[in-house]
Amino acid sequence: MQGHNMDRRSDAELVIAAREGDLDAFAALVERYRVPALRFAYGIAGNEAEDAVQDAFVKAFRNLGGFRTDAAFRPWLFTIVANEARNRLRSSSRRRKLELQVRDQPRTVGAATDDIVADLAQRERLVDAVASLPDRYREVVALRYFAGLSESETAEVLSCPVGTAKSRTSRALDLLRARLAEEVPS
Amino acid sequence: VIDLEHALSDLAEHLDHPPGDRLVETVRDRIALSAGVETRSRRRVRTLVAIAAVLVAIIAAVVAIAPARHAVADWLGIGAVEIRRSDRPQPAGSSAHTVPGAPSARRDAAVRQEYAAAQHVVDFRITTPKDASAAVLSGVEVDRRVRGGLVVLRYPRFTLVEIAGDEHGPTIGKILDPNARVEPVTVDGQPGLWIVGAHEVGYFDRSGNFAIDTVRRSGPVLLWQRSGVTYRIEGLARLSDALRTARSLH
Repeated sequence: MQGHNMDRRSDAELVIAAREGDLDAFAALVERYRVPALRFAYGIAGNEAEDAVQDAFVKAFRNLGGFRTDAAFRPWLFTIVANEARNRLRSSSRRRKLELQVRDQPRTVGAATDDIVADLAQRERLVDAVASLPDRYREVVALRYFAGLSESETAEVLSCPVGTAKSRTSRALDLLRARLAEEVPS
Repeated sequence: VIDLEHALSDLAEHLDHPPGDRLVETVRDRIALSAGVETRSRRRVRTLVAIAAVLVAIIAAVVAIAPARHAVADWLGIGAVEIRRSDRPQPAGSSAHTVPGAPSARRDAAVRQEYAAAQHVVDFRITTPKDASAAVLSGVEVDRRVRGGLVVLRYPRFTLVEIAGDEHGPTIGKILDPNARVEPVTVDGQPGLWIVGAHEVGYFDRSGNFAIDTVRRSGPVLLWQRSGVTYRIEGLARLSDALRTARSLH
């Protein structure tokens, strides 16, 4: 599995190769989208994320035959991930209040990051605020900011017009600001 | 005040999600495993297909026989006689070989007169058996209630009934005893039925209403249709005799 993340082929090229049985090509796609898929799924289903993503990739492989190679692979894949994550969240017997956490030690610390979120406590407040969002707003936040999808890709995954995705994102940000304002003493 | 959008993007880098370090290998293993399962499944499917092909061949053979039976059913549906099976035993009556109107001694001249009169009443040409065993016609009766006409030709050993075909449906109904046996036969290339067992006979009147006219326990009956006319022979105990008589009709 070494070097999958170094594969320079486009998504479409990898999909075509994977369709023809090239498992390495599909492994390259898994490696390419592993982290954003986990981040997104974590935002939806918390600790069920890895199972959801694993199932989503397996399902994606099985359904490659139905994927139009002239379409974008990423939103197609994230639609499957979203479904799996929602299902996991629904069926989880442990579902109470969704708990999201940040790592104690950030992986990378850059100057710009430190300027934006000064410390772990700030991130914890933010992740708690995200976790408290209604599902539909948490989904759009996870797609846009955790997985890094564009507005149009987010709209495609959510099966809604771009304008709706935009307004839902805006509403989600408003809710987050309000939660954060409640928690931070002026 | 923080730039919330940037803060969320930063947060993504620090989420404590499962690392998924072995996700690629796990997904690959699952795909390979499922491919193996699918290969076994396909092998099983091929076996099932082979079994299914044998079954289809058997079914096709059965279906190939079915049209002949269906033709009989159609004939019963569109011919002059409709046959229905009762869920109740038919009432016992006269002896098994008794037919309506037991033959009585009549002068030949009177019978010829009845025959001629009957021919004027019914809508089809009356035929009579040329088989020597038929002997002499002993009586002729006509039932005008039946659409197109019905004629009963009485012979010493059997009764021949000829019924007009009707484009509006059956004119005669037979209700069979649950234990009655119906055997498909061929008479001069035409579909027919050999019915052994008790049955009631009724008529469809000109309004299409069905009424049981007589209640009797009849002997074996040969039913068949030719040129739009339905024929019924009652009273001959053996199918071979009934068929020989039927084929001799002219």
